Amino acid sequence: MSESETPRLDQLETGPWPSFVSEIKKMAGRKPAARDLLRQMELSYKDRVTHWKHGGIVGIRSYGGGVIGRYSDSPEQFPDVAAFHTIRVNQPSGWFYSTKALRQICDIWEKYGSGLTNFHGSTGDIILLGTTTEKLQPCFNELSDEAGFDLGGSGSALRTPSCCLGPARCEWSCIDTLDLCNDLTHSFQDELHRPAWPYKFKIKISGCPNDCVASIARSDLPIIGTWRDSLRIDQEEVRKYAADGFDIENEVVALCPTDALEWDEKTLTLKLKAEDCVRCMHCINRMPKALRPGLERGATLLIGGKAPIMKGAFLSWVLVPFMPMTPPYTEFKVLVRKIWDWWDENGKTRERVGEVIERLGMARFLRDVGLKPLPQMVFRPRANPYVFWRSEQK
Amino acid sequence: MTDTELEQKILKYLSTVNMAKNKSVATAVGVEKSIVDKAISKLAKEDKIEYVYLGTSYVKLKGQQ
Amino acid sequence: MAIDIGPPDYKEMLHPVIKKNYGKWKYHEILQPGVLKHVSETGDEVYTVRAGSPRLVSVDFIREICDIADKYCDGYLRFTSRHCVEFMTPDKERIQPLIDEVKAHKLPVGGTGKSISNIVHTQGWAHCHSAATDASGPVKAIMDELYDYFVSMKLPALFRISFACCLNMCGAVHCSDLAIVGVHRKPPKVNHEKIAVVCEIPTTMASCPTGAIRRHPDPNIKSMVINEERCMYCSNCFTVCPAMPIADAEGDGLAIYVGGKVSNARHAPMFSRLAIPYLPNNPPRWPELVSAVKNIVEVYAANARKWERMGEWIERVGWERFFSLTGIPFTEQHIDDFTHAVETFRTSTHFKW
Ligand code: SF4
Ligand code: SF4
Ligand code: SF4
Ligand code: SF4
Repeated sequence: MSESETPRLDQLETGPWPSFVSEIKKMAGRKPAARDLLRQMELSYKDRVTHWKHGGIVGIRSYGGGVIGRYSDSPEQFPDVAAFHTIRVNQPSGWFYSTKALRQICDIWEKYGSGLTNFHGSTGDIILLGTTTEKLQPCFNELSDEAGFDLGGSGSALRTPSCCLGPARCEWSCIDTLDLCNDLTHSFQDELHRPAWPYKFKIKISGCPNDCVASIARSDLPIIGTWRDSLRIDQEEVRKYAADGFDIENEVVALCPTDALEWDEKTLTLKLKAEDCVRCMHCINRMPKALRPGLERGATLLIGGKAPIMKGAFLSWVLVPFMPMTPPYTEFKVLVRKIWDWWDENGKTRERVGEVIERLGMARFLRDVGLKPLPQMVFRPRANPYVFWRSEQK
Repeated sequence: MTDTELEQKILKYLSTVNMAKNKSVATAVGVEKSIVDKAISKLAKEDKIEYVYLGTSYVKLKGQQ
Repeated sequence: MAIDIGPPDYKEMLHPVIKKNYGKWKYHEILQPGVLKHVSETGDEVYTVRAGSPRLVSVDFIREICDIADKYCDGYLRFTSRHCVEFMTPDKERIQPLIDEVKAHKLPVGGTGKSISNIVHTQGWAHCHSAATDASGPVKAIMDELYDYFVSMKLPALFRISFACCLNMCGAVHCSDLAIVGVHRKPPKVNHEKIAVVCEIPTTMASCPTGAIRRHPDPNIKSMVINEERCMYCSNCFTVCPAMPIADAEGDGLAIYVGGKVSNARHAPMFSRLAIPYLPNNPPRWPELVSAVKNIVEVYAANARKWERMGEWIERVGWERFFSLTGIPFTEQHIDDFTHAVETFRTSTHFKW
């Protein structure tokens, strides 16, 4: 019996969770690159450092992103991953696929690449993991011309927008997340494909405040569906929950963050002080048959969310408490272009929009993009007395 | 300045540097950035420039070392 | 060669029942772990079976799930934001055979409701130059151990684990119930010969959040030096300058942050906060990491109230209690000393023992 080349990785083939090592091995027989990937990873598992180098210039003609260049630091040892570039392919809204489309991608990727993928990468793209410099262009040509797919974003550009499945299968979506995501992606192809900004810019779209795509933490400009009127209550269905033994008092009313609900044991009615509701979704999540979002729907826009690099992580801040979101989304598009121009003009290299706002002040940002200050934008007003007045205000 | 003149100016500037961000290109050629961005996109589509990523994105003349 | 065609139209990717009931869904139920039923105003129903995936998958895997979708779901499927696969069918009779088939392919069914869904994660040693650890490996080891929480719904609330192999945090894991982050603990090693060729000195100096990088004191040497006292190993300089490698087998490892969330349900979204500043890189199965994660999950499961997310539980009982209940030592690394540090200092005599 021949000894395994990858004794360490082999240990990740045991256990109940599906194994990525088995996945790489599936391709290793047909694809030398997959085999060298395994062998190089085995080396990393042995000496506990990465064996990839910084990327170089690789790309698709006309595009400034969508390909992540990757080279092995030990090409003599692992010649078949000497160049192992990644292609980001823009996913359809909501990550819905026909098997026909998926099979086309598989066939193209088997022809031109390692046969390894991520479904999906962190930003939401399909990641085609590993091919050589020469194969990039023909692979793209076939993806585009035959399969109808395009590249996603990378670098200092708009990154591939993504969204929750929204109205396709969720009863709570207050906006058409799929259409909005698709529309914005198609409208901003130049911003997506030819990086011209200080750094990256992410837009993510969730249909309701449950924020299933983590937009508030993961995007510079989250769009979160919401409603302005009162959430809807079907008292008949509420009574059915109660009759089934569901503890409305403790599991719903007591957990409302703003004390906006009251459960009347006698009349078996759930009462809502609509003006106190902050639309957190908790009660709706617990009683989906009885409670539903309101009917006057739109989105809350926020700004500035990001991971720690460089100056620390931010959760996004409320920017527009309510904006109706109907095609062709003109009001949104006008605003986002103003925001990009402001950021592009004022931002230093590698500064995200949230960091520029922190450095120059939210008040100035609002003024420059033409938005009024509103109490919904802050948890509480300032406590310090260091207040600026502009000359025209004095 | 015509579009072609602007493009020539951009290419000329890029031939003097290793790589540059769009913003520095705009400063160097003295034209509003949004216009320069469009011209650079066009040059990219004509395969005259390419992009480099090193913590942020830069443009450079295609093939220039 | 067509350019800028954008993503394909999502409408072509939707099952007819999804298309017909688009925007008309009325309510849903979780029938059992991993199985959802959505009911429309039109009276139509759609059943969803959710399956775990290793995320790093071969085209064979994609073809296999396509075979399943062709057989049971009329040729459509989708993925969730946490890398799970969802099979949907309007036909109730198909649910059980579908589940059986998914399980026959050795894929776990679960990840709904009060469970631990799939771990959102990054590239690690499989594809990144920046990685302080692997991603797929530790994730596999953790999910093997927490498997039972994926296929059941027995936690107080949903529990989201995310994994990033360096501070770049692709996928922004910083607001997860439990976030694992690959960390460096040694300053970059400056390669003075290479630097002048591959790096721009002003850009590199400006990249450092703590201002730790200076020009080389010898003006004849076109390079930089690092004030090691001020370096917190964030790797920003390496990102812009390949001649400052930071990976180090002994220094690198993992940190665990807890209590974050992104949903607005009940408490406002919050950041995850440092629980364990360092655990060693111990491939192939990272036993120290796995047992630390398991301990935190179990202490949470035993102590939180129903519907309380990790962070909501900790904020209610207090972080001092989190540390005593989990037995995790509190160290000087836990006290913030970056930009907004003072906001975390306790300005009250309210605390517990
Ligand atoms: S964010 Fe809201 S609308 Fe979107 S899938 Fe989640 S719960 Fe549904
Ligand atoms: S949505 Fe949230 S805030 Fe509004 S009533 Fe329900 S639990 Fe209370
Ligand atoms: S988190 Fe860091 S190491 Fe991991 S994939 Fe992202 S940049 Fe690379
Ligand atoms: S690792 Fe970070 S803190 Fe250290 S020198 Fe580089 S940029 Fe500065």
